[in-house]
Amino acid sequence: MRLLSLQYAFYAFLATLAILSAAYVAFSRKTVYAVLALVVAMLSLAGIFLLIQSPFAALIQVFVYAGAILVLFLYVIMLLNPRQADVTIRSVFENRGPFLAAAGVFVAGFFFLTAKWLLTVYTVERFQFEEFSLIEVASRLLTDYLLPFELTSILLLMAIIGAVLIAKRN
Amino acid sequence: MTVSWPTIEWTWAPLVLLSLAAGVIIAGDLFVRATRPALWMQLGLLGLLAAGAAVVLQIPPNASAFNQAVQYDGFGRSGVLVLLAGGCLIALISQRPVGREELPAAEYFALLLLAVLGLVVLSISFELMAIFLSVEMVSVGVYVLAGVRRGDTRGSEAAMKYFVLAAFSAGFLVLGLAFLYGGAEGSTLLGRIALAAHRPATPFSLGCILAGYALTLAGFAFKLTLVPFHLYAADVFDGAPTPVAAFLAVLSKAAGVIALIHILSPLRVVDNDALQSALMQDFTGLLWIFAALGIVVGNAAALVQRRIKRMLAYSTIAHSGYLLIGVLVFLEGSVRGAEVETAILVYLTAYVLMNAGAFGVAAALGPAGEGEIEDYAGLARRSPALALAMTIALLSLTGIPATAGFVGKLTLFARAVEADHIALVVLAVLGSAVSAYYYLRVVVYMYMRDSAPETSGAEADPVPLEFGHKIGLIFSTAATVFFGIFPQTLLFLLKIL
Repeated sequence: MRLLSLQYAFYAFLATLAILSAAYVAFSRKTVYAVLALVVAMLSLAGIFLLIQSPFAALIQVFVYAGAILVLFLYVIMLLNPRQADVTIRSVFENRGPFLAAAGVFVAGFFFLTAKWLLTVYTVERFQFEEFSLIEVASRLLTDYLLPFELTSILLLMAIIGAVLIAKRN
Repeated sequence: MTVSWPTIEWTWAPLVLLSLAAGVIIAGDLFVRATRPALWMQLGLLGLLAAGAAVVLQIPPNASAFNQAVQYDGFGRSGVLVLLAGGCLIALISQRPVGREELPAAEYFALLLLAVLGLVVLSISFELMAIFLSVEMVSVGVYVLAGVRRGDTRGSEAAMKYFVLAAFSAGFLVLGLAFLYGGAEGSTLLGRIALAAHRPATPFSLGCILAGYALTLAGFAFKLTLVPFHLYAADVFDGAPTPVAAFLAVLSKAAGVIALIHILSPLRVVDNDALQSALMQDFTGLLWIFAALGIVVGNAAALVQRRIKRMLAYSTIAHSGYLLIGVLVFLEGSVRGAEVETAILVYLTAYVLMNAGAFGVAAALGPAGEGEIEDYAGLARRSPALALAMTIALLSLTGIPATAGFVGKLTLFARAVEADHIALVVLAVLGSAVSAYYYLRVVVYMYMRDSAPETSGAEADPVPLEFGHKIGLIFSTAATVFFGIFPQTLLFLLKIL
């Protein structure tokens, strides 16, 4: 149980960090800062995945989200004119300090209250993976979760067609 | 050594056929130099009809696939047929707008087919991930199709609004589904969630299920344009190309209702379970409010609309309210589930047919048909057949006897009366009476007002129509009247197909 309380502290820290950085993404006026805050949010989510003992999800989170997708975001921002982008993005909440603080306190409080519950019910007792294996993940994807797996490919195809269609007109 | 040939998984066939048709269209576009809207439309129709034939001929009711992730229960299976028929109608009424406005035809029809595939999966899937992914397939298709017109600010606004709000609502949906996953102790199958809802392992999993259902309902309320979540509908329908608006108004709603019934069915009171009925009371109360608000707000707002597609948008909001009465009666469990499901299917069939007719006429008229209701003045003289088709569709939407809309409302409201929802039925009937004003106003303009004097030349000539468009309008109009006069044939068809 000593371990549990350590886990709890880690979880609370990571959850608060994720929420605060996500809020920063939403309210920031500078796009580059927003993307960097998004990296922090993604990394703290990866940390939470590690805490609930799913290293594969954590790994994917770092590789795909924090790595590939956000780098792509940065490229897009660099290619667009950043100065222009700064002007167009406006926060709805002009005086956002107190608002952010209140939201942060609220959300962090919520997580402190629920974390113990979440971790006791789910990590320590129920979801104990014996051993992590990529083969297991792959075979589950192609058997139990074949339908969602295939649907994802079609969804991505639609997104590609749509993106090309929208980009082509300009 | 014997070679064993793989057996054909017929339960996969509709999904494979639809994606195959979309793939052929996309790949074929590379080899065909000129844009050929008619060709791609016909290929799309072929895919839809083949998928329908596979369901009718090869998939028995209650077949399942993908480890119970897909189940063709009687309701979902008939729902798939209604959706495929609706997909055919929308493909037929798309050819003219796509050809006239020189939209990218191959991409248009391929995305339309894949979006229909999403709807089909949505109405037969009993697995949370497949449900979420199919909802997203529909949304992604609509984002692109709504904004497919070049340089059209209304269309771009519609696409942008739908994109931002649908992404926001998808957040609610995915969080809700995650809670359900937690409540079912780590299973994404609806069957397991039903078990957990009836016998929750811990108070925590009960809380998860409650929160999950609340958030999932919010996500679906957006798709179904239930009232506090309806604000995008008028702008998106008005800005999107007419067939896309029809897709959004008709098919995505129909599939949403079918999926909502499947998802909420674990909450249905089957035996007099005290916990279960306490759980249900919150949700039935919520659905009651959604239904009542939809009927009141939809009908009241439609009264003051001046643009035809905004009027139709608010009318579909009212129709979502009527449909929600069916969902509510189903969940309460006082009427046999199969009967309520049949009533909902009858209503959905009528809803698809009459809306395909109304949107089909609007699509045929082109820019004039998408604008003000006043622009319909003198249509009866210009194109009597189109005016007649529009009139029948609007009468059916009102619920005048001898139309399919009447049969749909009658069967649905009869179930609601059986379940003692007198207040809701009274409200719905009053709402239908109010709706007569705004539907029939269009008819008055078409038959009793002359078009503006300055219109001449092409504006006053009969509207030219493609063959496919004619077929679509004739089919939807004839079926609306036929099922209205012989409702038992519709019940018979739903039973044997």
